[in-house]
Amino acid sequence: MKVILDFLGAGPRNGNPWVRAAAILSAIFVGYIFVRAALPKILDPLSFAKIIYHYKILPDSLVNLAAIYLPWLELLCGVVVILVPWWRAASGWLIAAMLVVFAAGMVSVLARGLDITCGCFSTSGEGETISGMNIARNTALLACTFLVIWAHSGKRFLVGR
Amino acid sequence: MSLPRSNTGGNAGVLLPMTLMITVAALAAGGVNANRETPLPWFEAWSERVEEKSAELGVRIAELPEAEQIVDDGIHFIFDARSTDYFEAGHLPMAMSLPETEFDEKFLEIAPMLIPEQEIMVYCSGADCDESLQVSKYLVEQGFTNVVLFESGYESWVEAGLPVEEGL
Repeated sequence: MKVILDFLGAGPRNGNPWVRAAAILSAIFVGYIFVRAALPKILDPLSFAKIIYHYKILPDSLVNLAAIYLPWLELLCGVVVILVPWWRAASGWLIAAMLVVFAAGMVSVLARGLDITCGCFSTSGEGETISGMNIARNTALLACTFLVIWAHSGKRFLVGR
Repeated sequence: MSLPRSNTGGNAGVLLPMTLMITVAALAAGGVNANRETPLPWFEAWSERVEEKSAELGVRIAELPEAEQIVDDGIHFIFDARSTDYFEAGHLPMAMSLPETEFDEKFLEIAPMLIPEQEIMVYCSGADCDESLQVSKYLVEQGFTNVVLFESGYESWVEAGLPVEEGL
């Protein structure tokens, strides 16, 4: 048990012990969310492609590519941010990039008044409809992710090089 | 327990694992998709998907004027492929609810009223939905030969100011 805890807890360099503990918990939380979000999309890429199409952001030719690729990147980043402590900053940056892209997509949907499902955790067409709550949730996840990145980066992070 | 730390806080320490993750995800995605029973095509003309798939099924597309005529004639069975909630909020006159997700269960109730040559029209919310395409496919698989798909669906019906019914 101690070996597992040591393993999961390895990596944070910045912050006091409480901040480091929060960073590890955040990594596990964000990783879990990404793994949980990726699995239904990997199991049913066609339904996920339909959801991406309904966002009406990507050109036709990129819809299936995104539906095939994105869930695997989510899954890999989710697994790595939990299980590979010394790669947490790297997977954190990828997760942050995805969260920003997803949030931008949702803002665009709301701005255009589209009434479509989020496709965040389910590929069912009857899942949750996009609302400000989704963006708030994404922002909270982004905050957790930046904590992970900060705690696992060198001390020069955000301070200048 | 000491662990290797590739991240030195510099760009190189993060960029290499990021590149590796991006590459591994691409390989996994491509490999798994290629080995699926029905792989998702890498490229697909989504805006023409309903037309293409219905042509493959032998299902004819009906535009709004024809759909209006079909409703007026009262010969076709009209199936609403949206979920029951949407059907209850409003549907085409004389339409019956046959949601894609409940097809097997609901079709058992409806099947005794139908013959294979029965003229049927199916619709869902609009041109971007594909529940009607899915229900049309199921109907063709059940042996129905006169299925028409009202592609622009309920939204175009409402936008045209045509009458709707509410409730189940």
